[in-house]
Amino acid sequence: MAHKKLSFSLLAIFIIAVTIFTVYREEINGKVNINKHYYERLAKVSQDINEVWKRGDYKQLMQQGISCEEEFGDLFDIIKSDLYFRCNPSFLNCYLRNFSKLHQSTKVFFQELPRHNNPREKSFYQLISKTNFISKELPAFTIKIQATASEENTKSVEIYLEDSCNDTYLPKRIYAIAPYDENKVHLEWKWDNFDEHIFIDKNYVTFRDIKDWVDFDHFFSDFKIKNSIPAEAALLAAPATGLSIEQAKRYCHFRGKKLLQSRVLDAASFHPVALRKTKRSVIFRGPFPWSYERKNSQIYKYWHDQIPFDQKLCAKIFTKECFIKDRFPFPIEVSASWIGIFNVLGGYAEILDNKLSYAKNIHPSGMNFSLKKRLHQIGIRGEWNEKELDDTSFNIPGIKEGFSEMKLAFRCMRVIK
Amino acid sequence: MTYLMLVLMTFFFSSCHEENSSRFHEEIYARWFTAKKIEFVEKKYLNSVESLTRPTNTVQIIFSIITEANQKDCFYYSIPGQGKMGAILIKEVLSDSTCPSFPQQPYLWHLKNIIFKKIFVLEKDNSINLSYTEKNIDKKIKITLFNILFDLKSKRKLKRYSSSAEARKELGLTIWKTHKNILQLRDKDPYKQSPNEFYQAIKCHDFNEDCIEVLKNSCHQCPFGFFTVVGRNCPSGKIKYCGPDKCGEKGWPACPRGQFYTDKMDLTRCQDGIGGFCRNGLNAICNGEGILICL
Repeated sequence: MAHKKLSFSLLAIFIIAVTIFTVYREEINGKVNINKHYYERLAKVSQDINEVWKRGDYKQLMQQGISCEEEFGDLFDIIKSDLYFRCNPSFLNCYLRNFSKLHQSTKVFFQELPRHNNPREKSFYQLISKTNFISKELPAFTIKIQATASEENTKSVEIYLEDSCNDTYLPKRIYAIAPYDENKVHLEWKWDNFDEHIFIDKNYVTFRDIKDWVDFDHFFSDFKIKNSIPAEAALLAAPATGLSIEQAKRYCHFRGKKLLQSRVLDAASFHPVALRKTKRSVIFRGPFPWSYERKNSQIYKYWHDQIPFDQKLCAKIFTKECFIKDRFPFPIEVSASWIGIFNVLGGYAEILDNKLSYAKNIHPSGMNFSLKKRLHQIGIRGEWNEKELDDTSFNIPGIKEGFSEMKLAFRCMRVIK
Repeated sequence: MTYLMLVLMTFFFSSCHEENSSRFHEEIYARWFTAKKIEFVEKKYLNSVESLTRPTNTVQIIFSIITEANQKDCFYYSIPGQGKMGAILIKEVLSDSTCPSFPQQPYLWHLKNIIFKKIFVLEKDNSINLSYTEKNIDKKIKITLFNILFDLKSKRKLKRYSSSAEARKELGLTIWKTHKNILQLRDKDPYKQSPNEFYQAIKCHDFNEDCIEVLKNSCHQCPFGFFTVVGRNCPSGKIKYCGPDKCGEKGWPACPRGQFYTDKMDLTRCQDGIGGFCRNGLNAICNGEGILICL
């Protein structure tokens, strides 16, 4: 009898223990299952966001009735290309702000993060630069987004996006500098990039980029730059002007890059003719980026009064004649080079880091000058003493007439060993 | 009564086992999808169509994976033998430790009574694929490794129009679980150092005259990137400096002119002076350390 009682007691204890364990186990198991489900959802959304980031498809947003006015003003109606919106943090900010409207069934939430130097202003992204942070894991510059897969904010991820849209690779080969001169072929100065990877910004740095730098560089202290940034959202798309060479260098450093070097701009601009022959001893170089031909070019014919001026020439080189007093006169995809950098000629004159002839620090071709000027050729350099932006501070070959303000932009390059 | 208890216990423990296997998948997904690195100790087990059956009754290390939290998960398979089923063992060690040859308890995971079959790492889609049999049912686990830079992709053929973004699972995309903070804010403005300090190039990777590495490469930490100098050409690398690149300027290293010029002149030492260049008016001179500088 006592034995039976003991057995029943043991059975009862066992059943209770099993019940408790099963309930606990299901709870644990349920949590683990939900965790994986959350992380899978976040990983999928991260991939989708990377696609949106890379495509910059503003037309899709317009179709959904989203104009991103806060970020771009009425730029969606003005710009006819998505180039400016690709890998553009402001575009992503607008997309993430409207994420729940665009994807009602996707339960992912994005957190607004403070701007480092202006914490009252928040955005859905932060800029992470090696000049500010130490991290073994991340590239020199990324943008950070924070996403959670539940309203309770229990499972979240940080998504880091690199700019995979706005730079282009300079193939490994031997390059020469300055315009081609058949009488001085034996004196040509050449270099090569066989032991390094060079990437060049496709377009100029914009005021939008500078505004981000001002807002996110913890160590930023140059308030003169801050005051020069246009207040109107649409005008932030314009190339950043008015910076000194040192300020331009510092901005490029913040982005994990360097100020574009003179010899590298030449390499990216002169069409190398025979693309597969990377070690040619004679490197022929034409004056224009779209071809290596000289005399057959429309610009050459215009120079020699063989054809009259036509607005169509503005699609080749955006010069003084092309400038119409519009609110946003900046053309984005003009004068492309053989590797896909834009505004090689025309647009804005450009600051350069000239490692050989230090004083020759600008590429003067731009809308300050008429198309008749022969400075609209690859490899031409001018000098800027950095004091002012009017004609008293520049020495540009063939330019005698005065100008009150040189539109001087810049771009960066990245070197990876 | 005793029989009833036995039946109940058998049922209970078998259900425990089911749950164990399912949780294994869940847990390693959450641990590994943001992993940083994968290393194969025995490459013969990787992408092999042959199942792992020998040597029987031994524990073999298959691979290790470094997680986001800087832990190394060592993955072992206990190969079945006479009267003994197989098991997957995962032992957690610090990321800079090596996986022990004979893992001791406690394990991070111990998935018993299985037959491990194959492991495939598909670099093309950045995934690890494990297959095993449990109770005669084939099971497969596929985990996408979003942050790992595989050789196949990192050595992608760069050509014109290629971007500088790193090729992980998706070009330019990295995902971290928020609870692990991977960023450390610098405590002072690198620009605010005195001009001499700021413009002083600091070595971040160095080799001696015999090309033995005397300073481990830490150039990834440089706030303004790094640059290489012209001089000693060692097979395992070049001397590198942290800092804003002021190459070619007075007192600074000469700018490298390129491999073609260096190789052409058979520049194993810097005396030839042809592998680098300086600003107009300065000369490239070999200094005492075998580095070409501009004076």
